[in-house]
Amino acid sequence: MKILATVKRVPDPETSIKVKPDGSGIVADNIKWVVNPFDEIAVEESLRIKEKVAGSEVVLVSVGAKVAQEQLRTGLAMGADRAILVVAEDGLEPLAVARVLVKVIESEQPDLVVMGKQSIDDDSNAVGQMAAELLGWPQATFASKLELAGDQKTATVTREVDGGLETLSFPLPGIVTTDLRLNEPRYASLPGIMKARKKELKEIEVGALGVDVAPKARLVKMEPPPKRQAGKKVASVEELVHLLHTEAKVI
Amino acid sequence: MELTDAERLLRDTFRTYFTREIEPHVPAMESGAMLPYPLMRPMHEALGLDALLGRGAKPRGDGGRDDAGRAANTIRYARTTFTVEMARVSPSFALSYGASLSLFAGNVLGKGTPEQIERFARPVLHCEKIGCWALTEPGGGSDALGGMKTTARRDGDHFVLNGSKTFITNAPYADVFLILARVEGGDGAGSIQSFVVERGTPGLATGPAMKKMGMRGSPTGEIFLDDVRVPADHLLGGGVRERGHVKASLTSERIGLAVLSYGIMERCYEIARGYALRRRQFGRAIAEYQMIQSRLARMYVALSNCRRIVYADYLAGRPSRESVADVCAGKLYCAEMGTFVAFEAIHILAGNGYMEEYVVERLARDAKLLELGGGTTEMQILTIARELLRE
Repeated sequence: MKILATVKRVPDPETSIKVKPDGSGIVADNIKWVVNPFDEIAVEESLRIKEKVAGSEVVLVSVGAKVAQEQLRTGLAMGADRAILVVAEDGLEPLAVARVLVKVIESEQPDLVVMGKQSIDDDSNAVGQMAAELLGWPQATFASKLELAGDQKTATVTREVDGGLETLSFPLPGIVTTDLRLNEPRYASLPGIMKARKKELKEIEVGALGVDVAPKARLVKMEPPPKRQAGKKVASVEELVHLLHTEAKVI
Repeated sequence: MELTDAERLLRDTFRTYFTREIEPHVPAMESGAMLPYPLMRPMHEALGLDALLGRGAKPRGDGGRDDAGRAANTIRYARTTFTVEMARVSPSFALSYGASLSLFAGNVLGKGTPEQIERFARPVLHCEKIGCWALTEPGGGSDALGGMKTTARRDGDHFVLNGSKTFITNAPYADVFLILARVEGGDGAGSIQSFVVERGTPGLATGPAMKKMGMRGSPTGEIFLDDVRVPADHLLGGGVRERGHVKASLTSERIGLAVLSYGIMERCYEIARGYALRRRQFGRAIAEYQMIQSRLARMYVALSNCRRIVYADYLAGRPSRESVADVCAGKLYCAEMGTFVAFEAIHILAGNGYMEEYVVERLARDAKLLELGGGTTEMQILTIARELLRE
């Protein structure tokens, strides 16, 4: 079975992010970059399938700057077999990423694509859905459990929805996007890191794929969240209710 | 230091692991409510560390620029950095781990028979069992060898051990003990030899974990040997002829202890630097004041020099095979600088630095041990002087 898992390079969620003074983006220097945590879950799930289904292959794909090699190496060190980096130095919009992925999927022809449900930087939560639509493939998003039938022809996915669980079953090939509770990703091991040095990492220029990646939207401005204001002390319940009504306008 | 991608990934992986999986347990370990040992086997499994250890795991490669040479150097980096990252989070944990794997298993690996390696070293290398190495005695610390009172008397196909040991890392909970004793009578009379003793052997007892200034997460204790009979095949290596074999063990311990000091220093420096940049007094970050800058810069001088000591092999791209004098010099300097940098960090954090919450006070208490264990500063100086003046 061939499984394709996506890997996006994102700022470490524990890094403190600074917005550029002109609001054109974030300050990218001196921050630590990691694999998008939801993609890490996707890689882990793919590796678990590989460990269960003999003869499986896990291929990683990233769309991004050349430095995203680092994140692909992390996935290879976790145990993936090889990686593909579609080099696009400027950030692409979700639809453009989906189109690029479709090209890669068409040439790789995996049985299953596992992706993070969203990246923690842009939070678009769109690429998995768009890619499935473009391919005409079934999709199951926000997976908290993924099971394959014995013949690996169908997948069953559990999704956490409001008030309960929803179970979907669909024929493969298909796209699954991962939620937080699907699994707990492993650490890259020392032997894994040593082996990853020699695994194949193929680079493709985005221009060579012949897809339209022109942006449809323009980033107007980025700004940090407003600084928290000091609280106010009130003398009585009456005053509190009054202020909630007249000042905060919440009651 | 300019790292390769693989080296950066190794460091980040170790750091993430210790921060997520070990650091949350530090308060419980420091208070004695939790032992460090149950965390060790899962750590080996998660990080695939069994591959880092054992005979033949030492990187060979002569610093060549070919792939094998680079891989060997990355392994050199990994070995040092693993300990550095462990010490940044918990020097106690690193100390217990090092005593079990380096002092116990390392000695068995280096001097034991193939049967002893398989039977005693392997389970300890895989953290399935915990080992300790027992040299110091109540009457002999610096003069442990000359004044050794613990004896081993040959009795048929057994040895009978008598005596006591103290300040032994892991002793209260160890499964296997490497006991140094003076042979009485018969073959090799008067020589110091090492004996593997398993817990449960009649006559072997250990005391409770001692109350210490620092390294509180690492149980330390006494060992009592009262007519402990061990089979003759528990004599390490069937008897070590080479003189100075204990000193060779001390040399390797000293290399490891310097790395612990460096880890402590690195963390303390980073905490102090971060604090100085954020803490504002009189309308400015305290890092803008020259008095603070001077302290930070001196801390960095120590850090930078010690980095070149503990990463000497990696930076050279080959084993540097330092002389005993150089190893002692490195241990002495790193240990003193570890304490210096940790106390400077407390000073920069001032009131906060004195509080447990800010970590540096714990690291400072831990750092002091490294000026005492593995030979006090005075013993390093004595050894260095002896080496220098040897004709």
